[in-house]
Amino acid sequence: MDDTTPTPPVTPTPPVEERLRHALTAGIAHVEADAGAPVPDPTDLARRRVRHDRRRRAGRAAVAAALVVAGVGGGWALGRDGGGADDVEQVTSQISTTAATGSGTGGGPAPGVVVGIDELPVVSPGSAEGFGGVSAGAPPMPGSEPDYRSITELTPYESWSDLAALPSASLFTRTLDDGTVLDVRGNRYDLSTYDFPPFWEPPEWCFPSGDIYVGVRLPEAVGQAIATRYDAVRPGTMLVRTDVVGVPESHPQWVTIVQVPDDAATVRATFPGGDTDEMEPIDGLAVLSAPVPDDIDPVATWTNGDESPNLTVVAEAADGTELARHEAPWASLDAFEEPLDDCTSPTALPEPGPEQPADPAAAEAAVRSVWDRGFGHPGSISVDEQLALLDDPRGVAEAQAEVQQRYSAAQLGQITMPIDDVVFATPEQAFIEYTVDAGDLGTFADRFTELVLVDDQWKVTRASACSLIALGGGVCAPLEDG
Amino acid sequence: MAEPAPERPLRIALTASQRRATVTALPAEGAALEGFDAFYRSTLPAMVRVATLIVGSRPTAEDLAQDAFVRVHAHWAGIDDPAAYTHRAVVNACRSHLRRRVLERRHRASLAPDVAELEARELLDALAALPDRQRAAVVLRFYAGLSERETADALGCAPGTVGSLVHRALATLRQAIER
Repeated sequence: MDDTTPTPPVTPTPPVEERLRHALTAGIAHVEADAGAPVPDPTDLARRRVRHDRRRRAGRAAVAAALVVAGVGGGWALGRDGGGADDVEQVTSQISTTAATGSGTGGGPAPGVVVGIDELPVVSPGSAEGFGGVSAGAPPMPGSEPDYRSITELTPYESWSDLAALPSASLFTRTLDDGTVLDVRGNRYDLSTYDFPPFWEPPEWCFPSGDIYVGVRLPEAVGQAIATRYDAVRPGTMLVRTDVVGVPESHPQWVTIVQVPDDAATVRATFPGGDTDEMEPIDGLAVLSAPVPDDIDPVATWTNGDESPNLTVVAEAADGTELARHEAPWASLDAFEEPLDDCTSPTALPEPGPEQPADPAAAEAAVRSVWDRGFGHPGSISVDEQLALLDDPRGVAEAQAEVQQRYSAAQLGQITMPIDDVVFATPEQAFIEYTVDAGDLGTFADRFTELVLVDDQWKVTRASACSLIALGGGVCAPLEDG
Repeated sequence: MAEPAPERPLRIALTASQRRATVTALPAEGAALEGFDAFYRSTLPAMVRVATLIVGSRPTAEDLAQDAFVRVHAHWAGIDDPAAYTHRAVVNACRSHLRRRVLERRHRASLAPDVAELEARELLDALAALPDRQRAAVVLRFYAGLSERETADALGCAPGTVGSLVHRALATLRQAIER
């Protein structure tokens, strides 16, 4: 080399942040060289809004979709079957006589109301697709905003036909003066299948706890209305769901399912056209009904959603104080769609508790050891060895077997679950944040598990293990002792 | 290869009418949605780009962004900061999608196979391999230009967590290009 050749000036390497910015921009430029710049499509957006509104009105995406496909006739057909009454598990009473009287007047159910005597059956999730292909019944993911219009992921249905086969039990039956019979039935979800972080307990109004079915028998028609039940409603609010039955028979009838605060003594609905109906709520639930006037087309108002005529529902305490009021287009479910900050699950570990293990380093090493041994590379350990690391292994092996049927040994063997962080809530309770790296099946970050100290040994809780197994499509059966 | 044109900033300054629309209580539907259409038209491309970088698929990103705008539309009258809300809706949609649609992940690594610059390609490949939350954090910070606070809002976490996510992501990316 010629010594006189000038040395080119050294260009400092830009920091990685700058290089990343450049790469991201280059990546988008490359995509848009092929596909063009994204173009707003208001027509497509409008179509999606219509679909979305339909789901909202039906209250649950899966059931709503089935209703839309089946039309009102589908509801008719289901009602004709009696809502699966023959499949009811007959057990003992859950609805107490006290609840049945409502909180206001006492002295037993109101005239025309017969309270059910059955314990609500618990329905477990249907088969999940596993590893990302989460289907009905699969738990909500930590950090995802609950979406009352996308309840598919929270409910145990996979299809319309599943709905008809679900067990239910009687809550109460109400007979109106005009002979209309409202047969109100329900079930409960297995709440343990919800994939909440183990250190977080959402308010009871955040996630559905069961279904409500109302079989409707008119002198001229039958049908069924459906709503999702919550264990509580947010104070000062109510949940209202309205369906129309009897359309094919030309005797349309509104059926409004209302969930109200526990201290409500009366729930009164004023339907479009002016008809009213009221009842004492039973266990926070009221079902109100009235004929649809001739000058209102129920199908047209259904499809018009928020432009449908107003329905007013008022919940009052025994002394007449108004506790909650709902006034909205009858086909609207706006009450379901407020973004609820207190229903968003945390995406990070909690702060360490005030009391920590005497030797935090040793405790953390022990916790990490248990996790790494049992779950760090789960394909390298036998199921029996893994179960020995749980605080309660009942039913877990069976759920594991479901996962093993879904995926090959090679697929499961590639899974690793490294720990991201550990905190101790108490000297006897630890939480881990971990990532599931399932190779070509996907990576699932921000997952949490709980370990407890049992006889000086750290054990992964059954609930945490079941939550993890649910990710792969296995379902731990509910324990009889809860 | 020519230097790609700088992206239009994603921060959306609301017009006075848009801002008014966000605080008007329960007006008639037309008034309640004042400003939505303009917001949608001006913001959709940017949101599709963010989603593309997170999920690695332009068609999927378009689908997710459109659905996110449906949600924005449904809540429009009550949204204080539409840009922040939309970022969060898009990121949530992307993360939900990635968790649930495994097959899409297989395509993500091919986001930019023909990007001429080796380093950019390596960075995009490394980006694709990051955990979802880290990837979303760096896309929002270094592509969308959001602040740490705004990124935290979009991810639903504390600002400190964003710092940690970005730190870890950059460490991984640095390793990838220095290998």
